[in-house]
Amino acid sequence: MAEFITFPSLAYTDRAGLDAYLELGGYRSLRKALFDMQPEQITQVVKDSGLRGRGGAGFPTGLKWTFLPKQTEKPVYLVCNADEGEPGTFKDRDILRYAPHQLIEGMVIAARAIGSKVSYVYIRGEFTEPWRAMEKAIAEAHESGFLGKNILGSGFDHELYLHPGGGAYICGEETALLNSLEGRRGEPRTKPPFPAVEGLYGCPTIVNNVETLAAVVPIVEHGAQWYVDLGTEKSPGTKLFSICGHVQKPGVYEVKMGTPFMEFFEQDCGGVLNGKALKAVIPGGSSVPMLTAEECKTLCLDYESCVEHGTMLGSGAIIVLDETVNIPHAVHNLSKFYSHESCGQCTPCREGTRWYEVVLERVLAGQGSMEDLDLLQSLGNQINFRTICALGPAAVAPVESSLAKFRSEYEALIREA
Amino acid sequence: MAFEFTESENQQIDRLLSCYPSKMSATLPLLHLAQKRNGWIGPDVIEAVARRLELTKIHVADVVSFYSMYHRKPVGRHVISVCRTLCCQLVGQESLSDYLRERLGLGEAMNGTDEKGHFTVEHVECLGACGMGPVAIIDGEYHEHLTVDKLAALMDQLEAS
Ligand SMILES: Cc1cc2nc3c(=O)[nH]c(=O)nc-3n(C[C@H](O)[C@H](O)[C@H](O)COP(=O)(O)O)c2cc1C
Ligand code: SF4
Ligand code: FES
Repeated sequence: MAEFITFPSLAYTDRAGLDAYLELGGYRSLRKALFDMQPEQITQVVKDSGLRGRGGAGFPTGLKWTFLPKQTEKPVYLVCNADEGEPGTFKDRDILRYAPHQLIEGMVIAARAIGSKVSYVYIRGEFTEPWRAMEKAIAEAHESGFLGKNILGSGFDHELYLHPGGGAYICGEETALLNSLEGRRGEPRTKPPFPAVEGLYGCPTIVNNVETLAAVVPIVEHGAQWYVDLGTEKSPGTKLFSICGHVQKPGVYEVKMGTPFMEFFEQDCGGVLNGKALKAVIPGGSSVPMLTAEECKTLCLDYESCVEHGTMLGSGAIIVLDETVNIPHAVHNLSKFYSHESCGQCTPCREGTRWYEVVLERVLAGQGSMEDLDLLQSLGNQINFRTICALGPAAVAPVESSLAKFRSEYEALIREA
Repeated sequence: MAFEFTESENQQIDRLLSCYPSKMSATLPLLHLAQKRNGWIGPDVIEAVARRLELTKIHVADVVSFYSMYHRKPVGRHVISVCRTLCCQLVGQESLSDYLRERLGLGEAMNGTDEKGHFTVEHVECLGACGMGPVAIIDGEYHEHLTVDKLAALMDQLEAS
């Protein structure tokens, strides 16, 4: 059975306060990081743990931190990405609401590792309850000397501020997020330069996801090997999965990397809602290719197994589709999402996402033709590798994978018209 | 009447400004603050924000137009934002939307305000609470596992208050 190992507070909805967190052993890692470790040692343990970014791209966290310039006159910023907007993803919200102190602790540890005196948590604007929980936790942390000047008497200073988004999925993309934090339209920047070199206000910046930063706490406390041993050789540790759609017990689960999907799905999540048959699963948020029920049988919940199955682990957001779902209908819903959320800077993304929506609408309305399916099939080539950020390619994934695996459902809509 | 920040809002703004090395960074927070009291962002709000942050009006207007949480038209007394994205659709969002359109006389429109100005309905994208769908935000707070009955009761309550 899945249990919360590295996020103990998530087992409760009432342990968000400081006292409860301290009872669970909170802020021990911070003491260790401040008094027993040098910044380089913190980065090293994170590197050795194999922790990979939990925001979707899966980039090795410790390695990212080493991309900061060794010497710089400029301030170094730490930014926590709490924009959580990828359809299917709702794990960061629980960390913010139920484990805010673990996030704060992880951020101060990370800040010490990278030499940052100021950090921001960019919280999507709709998240009012998580915002209040974070606000309260920050005040408590200040009062008890875990934040602010001369933290726990160590001489290390750190201030942490919250910043609200304005309702735009694209602001989850890290450079769009930085523009938004600067008070601009949330349009992604061209890279390079990467944020580690030129990020917030042109200064070296590390952007990490909520779950990534919170995971630093148990890693510092128990050591890299302990974390590695929780998962597989190539995907160490555990990961939070949020599962939704046609599932008996939707929710947020901590899963050891490498766990067979079906075992998790049947035993922890109770299988398909109302005992229906499984049709398809989108395993890593709406931006990754979907899998058929057959493919799910051999899937394991880790980065490599997902890649072997032609998909990605992404943000760990599992969307379950049962036998009653009309796949083109579901894909059309997502196409609307991407065409609405495209920032419009790149023509292939702006026009391509729009075309997906329009053509799928036509097919659903019974006015489609077989040529429309070829058109849908070909658009990906005009989007992939031709855009500033990964939103364009994200819009391709549901369309291409569903056409490859469920083409007959599209054809039926056309033939029956 | 032109929009002006109140005394206490100005104090809040001073605190906000102390969080950033650049005034421009406070643009989104100030817009949220203004919308909280004013309900929507009109030209007068844009002007007040621009003045307070020493930005051009066009910069602020441009920012406002980018983000979907800012209302660029007046809204009803209560705002209902229904998530229309896949995970919520799979578990029954469409019945909520049908109910809302019918109750408020919006026809086929996805977004709009009823004649009495009680409710504004909008359809928004994934709210990051997909496991608790269908989800809607009503006056800033999440309502999860919604059904038509639950929604109707909530609206009756709001209408009566
Ligand atoms: C369109 C788009 C949306 C994204 N949304 C999010 C998001 O909501 N939260 C997040 O942490 N990362 C998101 N990302 C990934 C970020 O760009 C970035 O990789 C991440 O914040 C880095 O943190 P990590 O290494 O800890 O994962 C998104 C990326 C793209 C292209
Ligand atoms: S790929 Fe799309 S969302 Fe990303 S920068 Fe280009 S237009 Fe904007
Ligand atoms: S799809 Fe509705 S909250 Fe995510």
